[in-house]
Amino acid sequence: MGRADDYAELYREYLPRILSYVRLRVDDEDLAQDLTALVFERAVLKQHTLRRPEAFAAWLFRIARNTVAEHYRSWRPTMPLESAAEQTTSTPSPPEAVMNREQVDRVRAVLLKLSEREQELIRLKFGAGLSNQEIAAVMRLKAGHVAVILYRALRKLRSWLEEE
Amino acid sequence: MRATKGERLRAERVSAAVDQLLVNPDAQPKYLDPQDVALLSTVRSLAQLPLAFGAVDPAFKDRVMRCVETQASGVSDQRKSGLRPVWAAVAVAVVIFVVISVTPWGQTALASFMAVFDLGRTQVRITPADVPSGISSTAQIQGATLQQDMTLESAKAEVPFAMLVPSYLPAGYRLERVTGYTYPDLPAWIPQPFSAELLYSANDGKEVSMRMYPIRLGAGEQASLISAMNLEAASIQGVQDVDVNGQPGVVLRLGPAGAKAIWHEVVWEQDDLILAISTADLSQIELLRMARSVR
Repeated sequence: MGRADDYAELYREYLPRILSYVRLRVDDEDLAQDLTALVFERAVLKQHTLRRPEAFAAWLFRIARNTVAEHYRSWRPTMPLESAAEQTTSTPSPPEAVMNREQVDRVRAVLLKLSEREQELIRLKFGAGLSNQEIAAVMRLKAGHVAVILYRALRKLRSWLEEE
Repeated sequence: MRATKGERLRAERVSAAVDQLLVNPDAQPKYLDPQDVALLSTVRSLAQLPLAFGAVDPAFKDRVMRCVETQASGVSDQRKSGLRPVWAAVAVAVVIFVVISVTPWGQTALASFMAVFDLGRTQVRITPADVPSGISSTAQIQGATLQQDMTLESAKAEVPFAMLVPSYLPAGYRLERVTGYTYPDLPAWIPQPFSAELLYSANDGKEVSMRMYPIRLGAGEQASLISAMNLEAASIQGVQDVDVNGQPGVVLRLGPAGAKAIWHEVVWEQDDLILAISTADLSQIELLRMARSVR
C-alpha cells in the first residue's frame, strides 16, 4: 500500500485514458471533465484501499465506472426542454477534427445496439486502452472471456456497420 | 453461449491484433483467420474514436494534477495523524486550547469566528410569491434584527443589483426562501440590502443555498479576480479550479479543521456579482450543473 503522492505520476499517466473512457460514456465535454476530476478526487481519498500496486489500473477504472454510474443514477434533468436542446447544440464538436460528425455519430449509434456489458468492454478497450487482463479485473471476468466477448462484439459491429 | 475451442483461439488472435492496432494504427496483424481480417477496419474505426474527441486540455490536466497533489498531501497527513487517533485527538485539543487561550493570534481567530454569529447586520427576509405567509409585508422589529417578508418580485425590485437564479434545480428542490442582508455599519451611500440569498429545499429536508454579493475581490490588476480570494481559512479543506459559464471559479471543500469535509461550495463571478452556491446534500457534479445554469 502506497501513499497517494507516490502515485502522482501514475495518475498523470492515466488521466487521458480516464477522460477518454468518460467521454465515451457522456456526451458533454464539460461534464466529462468534471466527472474525470471527481474520479481522481475520489481515488486520492480512497488510495489506502489499493492493496496491490499492480492492480492500479483496474482499481482506478472501477472508481471511474462507479462515478459515472452514480452520476446517471442521481441525474434528473429538470431544465426546460428548450434549454436542454440549446445546450446540446451549442457544445463544440471536437470529433470533427479527426472523424467527421456523421462518422462519429454513426459509430456511437451502432455501439448502443450492443449489450451494456459489450459496450462497457468496448469503452474500456478502445477508450481507455486497457489490456484484456486489466478489463477482466475491472469487470470481474476471466481474461479469456473478455477476448470472446470482445470478438463477438466486433463481429456484431462489423455486421451492423456493413448493413448501413 | 459457451465458446468453442476454435472461437476462443480466434478471439485471442483478434484481441492481440486489437492491442497491436491500438499501439500502431498502421500495423498489419498476422495470424488472423481469413474470416476475421475484415474486422480490422471496424477496429481501426473504433480506435479513432478517442482521437476524435481531441487531446486533453493541458489546463484541465494541470488543474486535476494540482488537486491530486494537494489532496494527496492532505490525505497522507491525515493518515499519519490517524496512527494513534485517540492520542492525536487529545494532542490537537490541547494545542487548540493553548493557542486560543494564550496567543494573541488564537484570540483574534476566536473573535473572528464568533463574529460570524454576530455581524451586527439587519436581516431582511423575503418570501416568494407562491409561499403562503401569515406575516404582512411590512417591516417588523425583533430584537436587533429587522425582518421583512415580501414576494420574490418585490425582492427583485428592492436589491440594488439584478438577481440571478439557476434554471436547473436537482429533482425535488424548490425555492424555499429569499433573504436580503443589510449591514448598518456600511456607509449610507452603499445601496442596501447589500447581499441576497436564495434557499432551495427538498421535502426530505435537504438544502442548497445561493448567495449573491455585489463586491469586487482584490485591487488594481487583481480587481475582481477570483484568484484574489482568501483560501487560507481553516474551514477550507480543498480547492479545485473550475470553469463556470466561461468564468473562472473554485469549488471549495469545507468543514471544521481536522474533520472530514462536510459541504461543497462553488464560488465564481458573473455579471459583476460574486456568486456562491453551497450545500452538504448534493454531489459536486450537481452543484456545478446548478451553477452553470445560473442566468
